[in-house]
Amino acid sequence: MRTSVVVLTMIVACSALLGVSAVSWGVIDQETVTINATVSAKAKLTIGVAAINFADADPDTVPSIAAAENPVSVTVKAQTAGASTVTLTVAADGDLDSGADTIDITNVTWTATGAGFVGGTMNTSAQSAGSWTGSGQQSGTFSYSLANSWDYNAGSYTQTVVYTLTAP
Amino acid sequence: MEQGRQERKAGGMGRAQRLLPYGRSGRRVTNAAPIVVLVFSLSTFLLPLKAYCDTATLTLDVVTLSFPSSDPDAVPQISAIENPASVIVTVRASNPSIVDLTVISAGDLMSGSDSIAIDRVSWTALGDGFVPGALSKTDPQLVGQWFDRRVDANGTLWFQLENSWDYATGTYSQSVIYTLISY
Repeated sequence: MRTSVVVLTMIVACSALLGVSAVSWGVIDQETVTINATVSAKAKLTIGVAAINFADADPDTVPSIAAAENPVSVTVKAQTAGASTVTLTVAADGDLDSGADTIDITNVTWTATGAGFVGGTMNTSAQSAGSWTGSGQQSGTFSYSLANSWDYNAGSYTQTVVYTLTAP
Repeated sequence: MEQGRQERKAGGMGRAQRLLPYGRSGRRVTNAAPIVVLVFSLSTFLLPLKAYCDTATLTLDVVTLSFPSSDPDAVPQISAIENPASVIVTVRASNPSIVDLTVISAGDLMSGSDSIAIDRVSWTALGDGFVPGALSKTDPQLVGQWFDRRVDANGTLWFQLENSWDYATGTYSQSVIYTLISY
């Protein structure tokens, strides 16, 4: 009798242990993967027009001639180091020319809207048109004006200006 | 001899017990100790035996995923150079088991003090039991799930990084851990 009880206890104990192990035992395998990503410096400038035009106007009634294309949209996109400064500048290749006649390029000015964009006066040396810190994209507008004058000779004047976006 | 007669007077004890000695306290010494030892021996033997029979094997054919620099306007989603990644899950269990394959990241993509949120990395999946998702640094994300005592699953994963003009320049890195568990 006692032998039977002991054997039965043994069977129950083993079954219990097997049952517990079947519920709580798990097998695991693991693998590690390394993820790498490279971000290089980039700069992208988009200006909404390729040309701006100032119409002929009476200097007394229109002392400042607004460009027909105003406002001109400007978008700046850059990837750069976190603390680096992204700059937008503009420089004219010379004065407004019509044959031998000229209108000083500094008579062309602009105002700006949008975070980081600034107004200024055209010049043959680079003028700041905007600056930002770090990566990102910004949108704004430029509105151009030509100071009018009775001193201007008749003619069709033209010049090229170059905008430069720099992301270090 | 005298001890044997005393056992018969106690009333019907078995032959094996009549031959057992008495301890100094006068109590009969039983052979329970060997039985107890046998119980623990069996349990100690059976548990490792069961563990040895149940196996789970995870095989990935990539150890590194690389995302190259790209124009965010032209490439809004950067594909990993190593795509597609092959995954093999093999499980042998003594009972029908729940089999989970999960992944968790040790953190965001880091380049010095600059970071790219790790949930910008996602994957699509092909193969029975495999599911798509996005990486997380806080919670294991399910990559695949099966329910069987025998699993042989082959799948492929395609990884992509969401691109942005907001990312600072740098070389970013992070480790992710894939865990296969059968329980």
